Amino acid sequence: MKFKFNYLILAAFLTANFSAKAIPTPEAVEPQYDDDGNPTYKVVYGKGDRLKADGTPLNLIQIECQGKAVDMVSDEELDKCRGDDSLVEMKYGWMDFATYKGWRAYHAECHVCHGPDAMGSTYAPSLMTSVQQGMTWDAFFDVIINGRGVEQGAQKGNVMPAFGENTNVAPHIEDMFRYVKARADGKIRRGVRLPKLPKFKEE
Amino acid sequence: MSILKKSIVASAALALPFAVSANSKLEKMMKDPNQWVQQSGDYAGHRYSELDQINKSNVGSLKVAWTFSTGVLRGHEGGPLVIGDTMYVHTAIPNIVYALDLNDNQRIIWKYNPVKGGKYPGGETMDRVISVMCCDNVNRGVNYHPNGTIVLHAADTSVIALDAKTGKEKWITTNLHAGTGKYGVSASTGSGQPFIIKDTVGVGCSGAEFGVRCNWTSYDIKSGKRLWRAYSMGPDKDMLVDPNKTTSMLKPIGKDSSLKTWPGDSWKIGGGSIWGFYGYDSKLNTLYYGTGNPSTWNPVVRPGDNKWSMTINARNPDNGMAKWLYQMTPYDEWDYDGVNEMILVDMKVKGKNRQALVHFDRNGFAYTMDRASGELLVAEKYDPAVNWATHVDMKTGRPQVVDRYSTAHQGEDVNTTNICPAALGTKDQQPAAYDRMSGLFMVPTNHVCMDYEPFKVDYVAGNAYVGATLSMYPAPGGTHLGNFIGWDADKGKIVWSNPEPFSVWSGAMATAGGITFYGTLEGYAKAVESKTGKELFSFKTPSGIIGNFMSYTHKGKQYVGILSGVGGWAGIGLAAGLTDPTAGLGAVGAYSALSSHTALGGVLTVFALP
Repeated sequence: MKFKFNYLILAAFLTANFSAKAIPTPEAVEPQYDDDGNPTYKVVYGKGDRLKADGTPLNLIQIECQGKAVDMVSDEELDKCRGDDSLVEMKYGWMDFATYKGWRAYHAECHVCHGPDAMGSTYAPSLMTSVQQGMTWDAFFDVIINGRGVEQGAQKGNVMPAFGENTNVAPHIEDMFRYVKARADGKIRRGVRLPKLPKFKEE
Repeated sequence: MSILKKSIVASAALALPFAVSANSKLEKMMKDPNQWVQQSGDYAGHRYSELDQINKSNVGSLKVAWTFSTGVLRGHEGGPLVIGDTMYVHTAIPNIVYALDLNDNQRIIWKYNPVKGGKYPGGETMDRVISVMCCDNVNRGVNYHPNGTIVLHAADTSVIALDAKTGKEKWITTNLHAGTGKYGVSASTGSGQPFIIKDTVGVGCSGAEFGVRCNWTSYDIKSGKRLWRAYSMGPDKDMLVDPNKTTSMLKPIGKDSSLKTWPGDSWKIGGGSIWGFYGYDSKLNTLYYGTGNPSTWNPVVRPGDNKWSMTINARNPDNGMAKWLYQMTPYDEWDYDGVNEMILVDMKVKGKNRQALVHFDRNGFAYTMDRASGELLVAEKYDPAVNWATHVDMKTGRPQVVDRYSTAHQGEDVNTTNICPAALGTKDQQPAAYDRMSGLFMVPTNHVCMDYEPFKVDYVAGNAYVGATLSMYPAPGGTHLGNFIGWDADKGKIVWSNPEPFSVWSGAMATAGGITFYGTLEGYAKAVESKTGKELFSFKTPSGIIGNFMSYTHKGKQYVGILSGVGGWAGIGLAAGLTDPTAGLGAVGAYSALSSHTALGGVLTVFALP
């Protein structure tokens, strides 16, 4: 059963990516529509990143760092970009794989309190708003790793658990920050109709 | 071990002679409309008050008689009890219980807080318990035993028996130890009501979002000694089922009915939580409850029916043995917990008198069963938006799943779109009422759809184990997120339906005054004519309502009480609204955020005629 699923996904993945000889560019990828005319979003995850025909990762959103695609820059340059938050600069219509992973990691744990789309609940703050109001990468990282108890200034009765040892969260904090930052900057709209797709029919 | 076993058996045997009298005493109290002695009003879960001072001709002039702040900000589900001249009010975490003197301007007779020095009785810190509770830290209320005991099922799973007069602890047993990190029991929490039957109190557990294996456990009301425990999944002896005698769809379930439906030992973290409102039939001596979703939300990792998650259980409350089981959503792919309330009604179904059980499931189907035999009589959609299954096959009892909305069929890492209902269900825990006058069921519902993308997650003991992305939006063609409906459980048809801007997340109560009360997430307490749904009264309480209505008399005058205090899952899903105002899915404003209508705060509002 499980094998069959993987096999199907693999088959779809091969058809989508390797049967076309040309290196796929974001513009060349047509979104798929469901019966109701809404674009669906299909990405294979967890069994190896999507690759271009030349073996380099395919970014669905063109994230730029110092004028270059983010997967093309060195770690050093990447650190500089992280400093000025340009990691989540993206062209409307495309989301990079890391941001996508962040969105998913957010849904592995965070959304049960912080709500859908990082917009908060009646008791847990909107992370989108927190970042808009200046929550830094360092603070974001610290709170996720170490948590925050009632003693550390959280509203009475509210607690942020520590996720430092949680393998669904800790390895993905950077991706999650990208996602939340992208939400904060209005780069990603709500829901799974994820990227803004002005080019395509949506409504 | 054998000594322990003996003492359990002995205490069960000892309990028996007293059992009958205690039971009949409680049932007698339930019949007295001047009091409200159990969360559901009675064992049958009718949530019906025989009082008629407040009726359809005068309810329009209802006024607030008095209010009481609980001092707690989290979501307030459940409702108060009234025993004689005392009212018992509970709160969300930290699960405070107040006893109010109705003879003395609601003076606080006693206040009990289970958290002492930052710790729950089971030894866990309040921080820790809060952090393992999915979907807000609600509690669905205390219950009463006629030996003068108020029982609290606290968030850390402690079952606490309090002297109803003084609020002093009689005994405390921690059922499952929240967050001990032990494989299979970690991160269990308590949110469901403790359920009194004879001289026992039974509790379920919460935590299917945290990879627990849940169970129902029965305790002796006098000593707090454990009598029996029935797991929702696992080996037959763990589940207290008899392969030859326990039936499903009128047939014996056979050996290893659960083990066969899980890959490997994944049943050990199989979920199946129990936290709704339960039913008990003293003539049939049967307890009824529903089990919740299998863990994780990613169905691809657990191919099989995942029995007995998503199941109506009919059990003997004396020893826990299952009489019959009915699984509503085999192999859940959408988080359609089967925990909702069980309403027991003797009624005509298809021309035949039946001892019926009516259950409005999260999955969008309303089931009418024969509660003695477990026969499936009716299964119809109670929201026309429901699309994940075309219908329920009445021969097999299985829903006929539509591939396009099957998150397993679509596969891991694929976003399955436009599934109705959303994971919130067509109805969540908010209990429906049965109007004995019109024979209709008064049902608070959600009208929300979703996109759902399952993906692989690791199980980390004591952490959320979800594994699906989820985004929700109003059902197509409408601009509202909820309905309050009148339902005919014989025909399986909606008789009337009132649209509400937000999900209706409060428990309903019907009365002999020909009216039904319900609350809205914006905070309106409303009364409608039960027969037609016509709105007769509306008042905005201090916070959104997710609590349940109740009624009682004091000095001969009828009162209606409701807890406000927005939160719960509704508070997560709807706090920020569901869609961008710019998303163009409909009129801006119709989906505006709940946070622009109401704010936190637990407050009891009590109404009376002027």
